[in-house]
Amino acid sequence: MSLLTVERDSRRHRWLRGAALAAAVLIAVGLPFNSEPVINGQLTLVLIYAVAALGLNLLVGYAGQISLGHGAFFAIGAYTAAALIVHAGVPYLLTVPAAALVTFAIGFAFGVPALRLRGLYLALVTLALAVALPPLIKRFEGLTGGVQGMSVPQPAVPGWLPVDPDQYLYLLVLGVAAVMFLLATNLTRGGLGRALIAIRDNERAGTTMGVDPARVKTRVFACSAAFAGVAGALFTFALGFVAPESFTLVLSFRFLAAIVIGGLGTVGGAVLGALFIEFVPQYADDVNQALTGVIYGATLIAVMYLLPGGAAGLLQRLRRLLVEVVEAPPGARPDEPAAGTATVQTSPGGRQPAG
Amino acid sequence: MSALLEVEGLRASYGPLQALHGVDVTVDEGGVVAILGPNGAGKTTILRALCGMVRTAGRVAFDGRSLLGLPTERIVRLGVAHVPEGRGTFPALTVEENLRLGAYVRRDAAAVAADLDRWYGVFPRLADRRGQAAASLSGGEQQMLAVARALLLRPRLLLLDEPSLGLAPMVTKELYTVLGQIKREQHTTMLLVEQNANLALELADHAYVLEAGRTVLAGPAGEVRTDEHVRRAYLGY
Amino acid sequence: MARFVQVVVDGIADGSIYAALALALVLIFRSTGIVNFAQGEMAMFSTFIAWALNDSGRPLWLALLGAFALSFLGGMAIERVLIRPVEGSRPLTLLIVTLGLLVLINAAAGWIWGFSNRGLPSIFPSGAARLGDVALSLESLGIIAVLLAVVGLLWLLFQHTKLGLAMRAAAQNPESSRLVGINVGRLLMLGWGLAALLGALAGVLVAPRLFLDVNLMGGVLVYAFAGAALGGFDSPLGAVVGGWIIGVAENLAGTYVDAIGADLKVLVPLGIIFVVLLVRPSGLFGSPEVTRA
Repeated sequence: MSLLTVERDSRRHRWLRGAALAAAVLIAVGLPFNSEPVINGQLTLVLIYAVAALGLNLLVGYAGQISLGHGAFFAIGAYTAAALIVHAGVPYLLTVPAAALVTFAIGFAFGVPALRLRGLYLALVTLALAVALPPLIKRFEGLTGGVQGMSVPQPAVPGWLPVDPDQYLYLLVLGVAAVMFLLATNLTRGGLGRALIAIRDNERAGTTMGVDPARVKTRVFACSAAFAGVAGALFTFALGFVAPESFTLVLSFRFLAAIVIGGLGTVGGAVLGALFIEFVPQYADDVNQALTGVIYGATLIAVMYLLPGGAAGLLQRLRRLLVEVVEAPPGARPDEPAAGTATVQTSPGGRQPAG
Repeated sequence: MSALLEVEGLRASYGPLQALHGVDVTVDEGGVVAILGPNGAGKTTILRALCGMVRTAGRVAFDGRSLLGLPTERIVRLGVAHVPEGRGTFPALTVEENLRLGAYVRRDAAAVAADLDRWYGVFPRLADRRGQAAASLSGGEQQMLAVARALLLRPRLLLLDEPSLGLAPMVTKELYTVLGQIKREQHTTMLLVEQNANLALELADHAYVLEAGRTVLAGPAGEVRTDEHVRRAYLGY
Repeated sequence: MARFVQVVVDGIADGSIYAALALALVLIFRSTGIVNFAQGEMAMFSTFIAWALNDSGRPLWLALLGAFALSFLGGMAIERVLIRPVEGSRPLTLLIVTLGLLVLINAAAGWIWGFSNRGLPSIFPSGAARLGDVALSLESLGIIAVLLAVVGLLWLLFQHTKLGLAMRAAAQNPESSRLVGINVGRLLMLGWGLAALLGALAGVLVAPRLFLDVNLMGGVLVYAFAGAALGGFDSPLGAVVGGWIIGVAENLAGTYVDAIGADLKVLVPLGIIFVVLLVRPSGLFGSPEVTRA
């Protein structure tokens, strides 16, 4: 039984939500000023992976499709930003939307033929893309710097901001990530999200409601690619360097592991998963080079068996121990004093037994 | 005549939905029992319950041993052949392959070959099409195929789920003629679920009427046939 | 001209290896409707077992037999222990489980045998057979012969034995299969064991041509997928023909198209997959249901 029970959308509920959000923002912004540059660098990477994971989650968690090439779109975004900065002198902020556009377009092109068919074919096409990309990068040396990679000047701290370079990078990435998170939330709650829910459980029913499953899935796939592209551009800023060995097939698997372990279909899961894939290898690699893979693989399987909601699902359950949100009883005004409503408990799930 | 199948207090459910609320059925060795009733009464559920395909409680004794909790393939090995609703043929396999699968659990190859010949004789249209894929057969032929396949088990108990469903009247008559022939010559014990009460009552010795998961009437076929309610609801006069 | 024939034969040999793995994929897809992404890593693991047995003193043929036997058992065990419990789940769950298996097996191999290259000897003699101008490597000819033999054996199994018939029935309609007394679960295990065996075969055939390390089968898996997609995911014949076409196309492109060369050969299966998806999604021999979303 929870410590506290609130009605959905009541004043108290909204207050709690606002407080939680404010706390999160304060912590997120304050973090870089209290830690070493090395940690800031890692946290920056966590944010970057979280953006990528968010995109993949749109595809896998909401649309139920599998992509094995998310790392490839990440790479394309990274190289787009790098090439634009190094070869065309484009200001770094503009490379972010550029990377998004390029990856959106390529994602759309790959998605159109594959998403008319069963999910297997998207997995196939993205797998082939992920495997084909590193050799392609190495081949087009002039553009990409080939196998040795390419140095990219990192974003400089603006004169009027009294922060260190590593802190600036973190805050920059945090800002973009916040925008992406808002975008993701909007997408899932808006028209696209509704269309996805319409087709997810019953595609044929969705068609009769005027929703074309293939078009919706293609748009989601292109969006997810764009998220990876943005994350890739940020990656270039954070590292100041791009090379093909950062973008192998393994990266695609890491993103998948991140969202599954973090929690499919949840926004918080993207952050939790990103934390997992950034920090676990650091400790595991000390023990044994293979340990990371063993942990990833075993955790993936275990999560599917035991904890399909992932880490986010687990946290949800813990949160329910503290605060339970119940539906308002019909007719009651949401701003009634909480004392009276605390004793009004709808039955678990609020459903009537079948007649 | 001893009871080959004794069912007492059979309850069955699909998830939270209970379909049977305590049904009693007895089938004597060599006899034919029909179960009649409207759509959704639970008739198909009884047969599925006997084959271990549904969550079941109660008492089900086949030749003295309990069938409850046994997996379908074990029940089949005990000699229970089920011709399911929708026929259950293997559409991409040939007629001959379908029939051979009916004898899958048997070890007497020579007898199987002899049986195959016999059933080709009873169902000449199957013999004509023995190399064709089952999907290319008409509805009636597929039903014959399903029945022949079940009989290739040399079953002690034959379960038939709505054999007339979707068949033209002439084809149905033909099918029931064959079933009558099998009853007379083979003395195969049959439990038959049917919406076509007329033909079923002609074939059967005993009958039960099932409504909303409960037996509302039971007795010798002749008596059931002349019952007021049955005449009005199921025989149309 | 002589070179052309050599390249084609080498292509069919490479294609035979892709075909073996593709057959494994198709086998499991037909019987359970899921794509086993871990098939390549399972094959790699089997190949390492063969290497380990050979390296510790046993003659090659015995090492191979041992690896095959263990792979068969391993495949059955994986189905029973890992896949069976989640069999009814939605496709996404099963896919993630096989991906988890991929990562796990890959890492396990690295743990046990390390990440450096090994050498697995070939069972075929080195050298070439000469037909006039043309020199055909004995290894290539041997690989093709082995694949043809295996395909022949599989054909006999599935078309002319009771067990094979039962496996086909169980793949098509599990419920009806139970109604004739078939133990569907046992046959599924058998299918996975057989697929693992085919994968092991692909692995031991390809290892002598490349380096044996944990990434041995990663590329082969992509080619095998391309072959299965080209042939039709539910068609064993398609797997073989598709594999051969991919192998020949890859080798011809690598040899005669300068722009592609050796490192971009992987673009060939990518290109072929695209064409297949746009023009004929069910592949050359697949049934229309294979593609239904």
